[in-house]
Amino acid sequence: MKSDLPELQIESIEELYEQSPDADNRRLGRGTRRVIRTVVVIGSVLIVWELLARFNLVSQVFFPPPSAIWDALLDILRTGFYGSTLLENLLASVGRVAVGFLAAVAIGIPLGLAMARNDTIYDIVDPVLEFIRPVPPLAYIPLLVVWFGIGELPKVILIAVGTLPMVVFSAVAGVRSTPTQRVSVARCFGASEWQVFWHVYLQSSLPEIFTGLRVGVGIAWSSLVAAELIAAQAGLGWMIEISGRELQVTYIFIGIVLIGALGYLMDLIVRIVEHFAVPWRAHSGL
Amino acid sequence: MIAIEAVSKTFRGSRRKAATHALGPVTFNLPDGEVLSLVGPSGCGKSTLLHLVAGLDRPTQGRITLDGREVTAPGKERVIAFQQPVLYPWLDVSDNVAFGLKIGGRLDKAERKQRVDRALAITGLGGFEKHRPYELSGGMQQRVAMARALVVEPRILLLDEPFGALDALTRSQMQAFLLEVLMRVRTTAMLVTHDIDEAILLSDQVLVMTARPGRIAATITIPFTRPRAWDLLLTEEALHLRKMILEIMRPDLADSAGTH
Repeated sequence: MKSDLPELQIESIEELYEQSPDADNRRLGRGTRRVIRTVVVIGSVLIVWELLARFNLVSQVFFPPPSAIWDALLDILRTGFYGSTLLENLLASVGRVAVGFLAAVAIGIPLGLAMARNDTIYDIVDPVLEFIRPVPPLAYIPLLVVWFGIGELPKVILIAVGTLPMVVFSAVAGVRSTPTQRVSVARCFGASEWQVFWHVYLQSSLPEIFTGLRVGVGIAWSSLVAAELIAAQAGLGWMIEISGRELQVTYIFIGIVLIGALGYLMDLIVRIVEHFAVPWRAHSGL
Repeated sequence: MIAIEAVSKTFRGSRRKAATHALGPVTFNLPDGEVLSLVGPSGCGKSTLLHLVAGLDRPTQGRITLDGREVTAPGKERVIAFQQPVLYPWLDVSDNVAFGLKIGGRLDKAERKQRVDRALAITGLGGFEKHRPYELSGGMQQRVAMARALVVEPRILLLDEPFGALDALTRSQMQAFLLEVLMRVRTTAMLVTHDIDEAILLSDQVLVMTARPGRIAATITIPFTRPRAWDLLLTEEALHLRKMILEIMRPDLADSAGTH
């Protein structure tokens, strides 16, 4: 039979991609395109905001344009805020969140693991935590001030108490979601209760625990502003509180943006720790 | 020798569901060095029986003894491998294989490594020591699970549909692999399977079970000598055994045979 089909000649795979209309997109890569998309959307919002404020379509007092916020930030960096530098305020807040959060982790994880494996402990602690969980941190402030005064201790305790239930429940959930066959395998080899706990339950619960820690970081940061309402002399929450009283909206925005950015950074740190502690996370279905 | 003496199992019901009589009573012996397969319809209690022998559960009635001593709890002389490999994703291949030895804890490090290396060699996993389980294919993962079970040198190896989750090609490779491993380590084994060919190829005895509550419908001795190869399944004799087992499992097939 004669072959009158047109011959298709491709020198290389690259050449094939060159010819395709998507060639440019392919070369940019999915990741880059997604970053560009995010930057374009956020940038557009900022530009629209800037223009609305510049042309006085919205009040500059209530919606200071991004450029004014930026100027105010440079101003604070140069001259400080009510006698303290921005860095001091920032470190005060980060220190409180870090100590409160780490305290919640240090108490919460062992407590949660113990609750999951011991019904008596669970029955005693669970109602207390379920009671604490829905109460907003603000409600504890007068009590903490009466008990512990107005120093750093009540602020750290407030953050720790707010974060604790999430950490505990994630540890409980982690142990409870351990596949039974993982336990059966260990028991088959004659593992003691303690060995099963150490080699199987603890490891298996790490993905859930890290999810809890990430939510916990968020809760810790939300408790921060509440904590810094307790007669504070420094901190981002305190900055926001003072600026609000003085109608300094630019400084309120600076505080909010910094709290958001630092929260994001802390979440990133937890994710990095998780990446090294639980590299198998994406494959936990084994 | 493993002796199953009038063992039955009933799972207790609750307010909403009735109790389930899953198994028995069944009685049989498994002599040392023999491979025994349990085949039967789904839900006939064959996996339940294997779990009872493993000690993961207790019989409602009757007793199970290993060398005259009653089985009451799991122990590493009776190691089970499941349909899923159930590897620990936080350990690499060699640590997974060493897991049972570590739990026992009687061996020093050098001896442990020696035995792990041997088990890896037998199961064809040499060179994969540092891989994580999720970097391996399903068949390779099941080999790791086998190595982990074999390395503690159990008196009896319990296999709960070990190849049921694998594709047909991998399954036949794994059957050949298991045949070879059993030749080398000469361990006693009890195998639960849906696959009649697998039962014939691997076992010395096949127990055909009835639907729930599972009882023994027939005990069939497989006469082939070892070493065996997969092509024994193509012989007249194997075909005859296969037909026999099928007819016991599915009496409706026997009635309709030849009418079409």
